[in-house]
Amino acid sequence: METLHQLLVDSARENPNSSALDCNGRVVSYLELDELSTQIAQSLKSRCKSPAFRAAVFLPKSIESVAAIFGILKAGGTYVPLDIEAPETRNQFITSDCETHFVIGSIDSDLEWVSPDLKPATENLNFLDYSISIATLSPKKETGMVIEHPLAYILYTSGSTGQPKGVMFTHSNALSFIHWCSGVFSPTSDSVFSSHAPFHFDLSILDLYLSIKHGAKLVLIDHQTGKNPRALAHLIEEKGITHWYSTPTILKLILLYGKPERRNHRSLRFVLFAGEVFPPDKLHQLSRLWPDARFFNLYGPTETNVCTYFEIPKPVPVDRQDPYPIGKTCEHLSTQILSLPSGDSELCVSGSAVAHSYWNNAGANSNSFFIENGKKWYKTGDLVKISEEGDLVFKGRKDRMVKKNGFRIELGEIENTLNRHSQIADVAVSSVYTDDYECRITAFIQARESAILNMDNLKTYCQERLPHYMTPDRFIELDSIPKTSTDKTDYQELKKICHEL
Amino acid sequence: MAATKSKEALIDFIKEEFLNESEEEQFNEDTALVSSRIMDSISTLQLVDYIEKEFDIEFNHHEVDQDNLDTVNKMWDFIKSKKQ
Repeated sequence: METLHQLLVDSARENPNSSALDCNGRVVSYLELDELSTQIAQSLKSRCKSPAFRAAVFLPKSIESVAAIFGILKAGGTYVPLDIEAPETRNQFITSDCETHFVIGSIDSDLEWVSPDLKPATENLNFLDYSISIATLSPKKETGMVIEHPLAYILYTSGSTGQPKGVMFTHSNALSFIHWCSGVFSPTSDSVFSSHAPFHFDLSILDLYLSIKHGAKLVLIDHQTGKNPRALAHLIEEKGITHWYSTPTILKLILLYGKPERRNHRSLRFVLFAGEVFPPDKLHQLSRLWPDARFFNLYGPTETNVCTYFEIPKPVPVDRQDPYPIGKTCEHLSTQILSLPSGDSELCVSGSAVAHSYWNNAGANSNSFFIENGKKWYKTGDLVKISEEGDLVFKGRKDRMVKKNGFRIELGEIENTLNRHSQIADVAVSSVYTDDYECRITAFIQARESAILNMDNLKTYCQERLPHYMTPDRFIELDSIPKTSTDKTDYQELKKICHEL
Repeated sequence: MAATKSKEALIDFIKEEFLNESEEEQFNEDTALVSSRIMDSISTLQLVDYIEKEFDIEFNHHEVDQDNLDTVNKMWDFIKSKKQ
């Protein structure tokens, strides 16, 4: 059976001395990366009897984090990438929800959050210049889930019931996507890929495995550099990036604050973006700045990775108002459009790259997947229409999920978090998009009687419990949350208030 | 350019653009703005833009970081070092 780690083994055999990774100027060859990941695999194997273990990766973007990912895969395990910036409670939830056997960190003090009551057995491992720390846990029970194909990774994404949910991917899910990318983005061993997205974000799958498959160089961009547009504009020039992939937010920041006009960016061949709408006026400016690059709008929820794509025709008209379509179905997948009772049309996706299912979450599985003529379909929740040219066009959501800087957010998860606050009687979270397609989240708060609530403190309360992108932009206190005649939260009314603010 | 007056202008800009009421009450020249997440990355970029225009200096790409931007005093030291 073909596996993701075989991509690394093959590239190391074919181009042992080529550069595989570059992280802040620290470079490792394919041979070195292959050997390092094998050492990590051996350490994990010697500590775990279970053939299909799960290991959380709690490392900053680094050579070690890539080696750990391939080490876990080589040992037959499943990696669970964590957001090192996320609150501890969220990472605790994830590691306990999917019963990880290991958590891999950079030094053992980083891992104290894993189990605050019972300090886990941690061990530091040194590999030449590198050191990582592995905490070994004993999951209470095995879920007993039988999966016919080995799982490669589990990505956690916002869940409407108040807790994140784990999306499970097999090796063949990821490989079918990567092989499709090979045909469209023409990578070679001379290509230089950016790795901007953190590994817990699905955009990272393309960067990491497409680059390794083709023996190309992957430039790892750490968290600090990743949000500094001037450093990014410098990095594209310095490293000679040929394939860039990020959210439109980052490309907009480079355009507005990175002073890209002062840089030589002629190495860029492919500029890929996904996760949100790219405002056409900014795309116009960027495409003039990078005339030799081809621009692609990639679309797909985490569960399918990229499922439709659209190459932006050039030139981008200066006065274009409408966002570009999400385009045509990727060749390795099929799509169908489901008519909803509301009259809207929901996009559904089937095929080899669609995620296996959600981890241990029967409710979410039956809501989001269905079987038709023996084929499994994923309901994206995205409403679409078909343009005159036959392209799919994104219209909106059928539920209350929003996208902010490419991250998906279930507004219900924010509501659940605020509802647990002892001084809050009721809460409703609403969102609007600005003219620039940026999402602004507003939390409406009804305090308990006699409670004195400081709205500013609620920001801190959320920051301690939710990832930074889920903290509402505004907190508004209301005497009561508006209700419909059936006593449900009146979101239409709240949207009106949002627009008026 | 009267240096003290300009520092006041910088403080006013930060208060006006980035701080809410309770943050403003507790604010002084040593208040951490970036590491405390009072200012997010976009706010930091707006601040860099402001400082460059207002004080006629330029940040190199590696200078856009907490060491130079976390507090008003750090910003001021950086501006002075650039002016020398």
